[in-house]
Amino acid sequence: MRNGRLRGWRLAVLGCALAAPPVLAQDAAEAGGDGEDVVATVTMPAADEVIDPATIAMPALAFTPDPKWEKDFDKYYYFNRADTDFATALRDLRQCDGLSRGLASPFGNGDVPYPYNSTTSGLVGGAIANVMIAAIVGSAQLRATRRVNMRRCMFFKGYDRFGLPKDMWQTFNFEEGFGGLPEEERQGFLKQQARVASGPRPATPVLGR
Amino acid sequence: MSMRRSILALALLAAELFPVSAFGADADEFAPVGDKEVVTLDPDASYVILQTNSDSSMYSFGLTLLRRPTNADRSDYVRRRGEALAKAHAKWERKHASWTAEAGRWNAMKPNQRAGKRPVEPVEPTDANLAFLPIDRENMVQVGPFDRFAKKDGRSTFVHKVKPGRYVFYGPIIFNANAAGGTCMCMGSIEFEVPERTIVHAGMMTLNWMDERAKAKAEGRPVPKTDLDLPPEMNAVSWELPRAGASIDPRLSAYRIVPAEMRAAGPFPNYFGVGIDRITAIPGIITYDRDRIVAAN
Repeated sequence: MRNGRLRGWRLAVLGCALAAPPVLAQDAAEAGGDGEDVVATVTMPAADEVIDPATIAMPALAFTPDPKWEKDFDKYYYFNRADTDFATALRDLRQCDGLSRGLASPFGNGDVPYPYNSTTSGLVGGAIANVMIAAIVGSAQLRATRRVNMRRCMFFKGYDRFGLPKDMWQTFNFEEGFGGLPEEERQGFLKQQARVASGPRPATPVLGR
Repeated sequence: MSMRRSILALALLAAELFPVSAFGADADEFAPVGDKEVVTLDPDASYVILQTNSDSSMYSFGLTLLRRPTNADRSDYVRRRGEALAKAHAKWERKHASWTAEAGRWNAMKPNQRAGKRPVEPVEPTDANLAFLPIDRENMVQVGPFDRFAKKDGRSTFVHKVKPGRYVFYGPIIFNANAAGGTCMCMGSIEFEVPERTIVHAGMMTLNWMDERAKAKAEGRPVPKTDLDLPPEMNAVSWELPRAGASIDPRLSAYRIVPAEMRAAGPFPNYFGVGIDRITAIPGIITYDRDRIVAAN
């Protein structure tokens, strides 16, 4: 059902680590090396998708401040921007997510300002680059790159950043890496993040870029 | 499956996807000019002069330019991509036929006769999933960090022979067939033209973090731990525009050097899956309204 609804926004990711679990790469290798001719694809939501934000669960954000949390706020954070509706926040988060993981068109960026803006088929991402980097420097670096990328990208978009304890953060966020987060789960997290980003103004301090 | 095996599998996959020959721009048309006593530039070729804000002997920064594909480049790319797809599809048809037979045999076996897993159906190559480098990836040109033409007065100078065309500063990125590292100026950058038979000075890439650390220490301010701690209006990378008549190196004094005419560029996809950022605003060239790039000239 979901695939049917999302077909208008089919998008391929060059590489496997982020689009499909390493298991798939292994299976592909066992099946005779399909990986040499094709890359994993990700089916993205249609551009005209309509989501009722009320259907997206609002994560818990209230906690008692404690320095033990604060030292990890560079990793565990969420965004919020005043006067921003859910659809706008979701579009912004998807753009930053797509940029961070390297989704791209094989034909260049001429007509595609952001990977997620396009409704044309055949968008291919450079997620394979993440695979290469992770294979060399490790998945910790891949996770760190995503955290920093989201901070920079959302900062440029005018969102403020707020810290959260790790266990609360984990309920609606994900780490990039070899884990192979299925696309549907990724999109689910992004929707929750958009709910938060377009939600009430947090009372905790703004953290900056 | 152990993590080590999965890493190996992915690394092999990456190596297969990016054969060296298909990686980056053609080496014949792009070459660094080394640090020789006497320098002779080809009057029929074009060159770009790029600088970075460090003259350190210990380390050097490289940067990557993206040559904007021309219409002819695009036609050629579409043709080659189509040929690759046809070839991949023909191969898939053979593989799929043998898979159909194997899977049929496997299905016909009783469970206790089966060795291993059911054969996995080969994925049909399409224009959307074809493993073929994006056209921009074929037009990435790395300048430095090796073959420095000069390093003095707080800057490194690179002189690079290039194919004429329009070049985007894609970011302080170095890459090879197996890996890439650095940060793309995906959310805003600059571009310039390199005409035929012309030597263009494109200016200097300035990495701000080290300079800001030194300044903060000298002024007794908190030292920025990473470039995320830089002042809000300053990003990790800034650009010093080229000045007409700037003296670059005595060995180049006999040559006519033209300052690049910079324009705003971007955004761009993060083709290498590396860090994303944007160039610090350059008054008169590029500014920003939130994440929207504003071309100022």
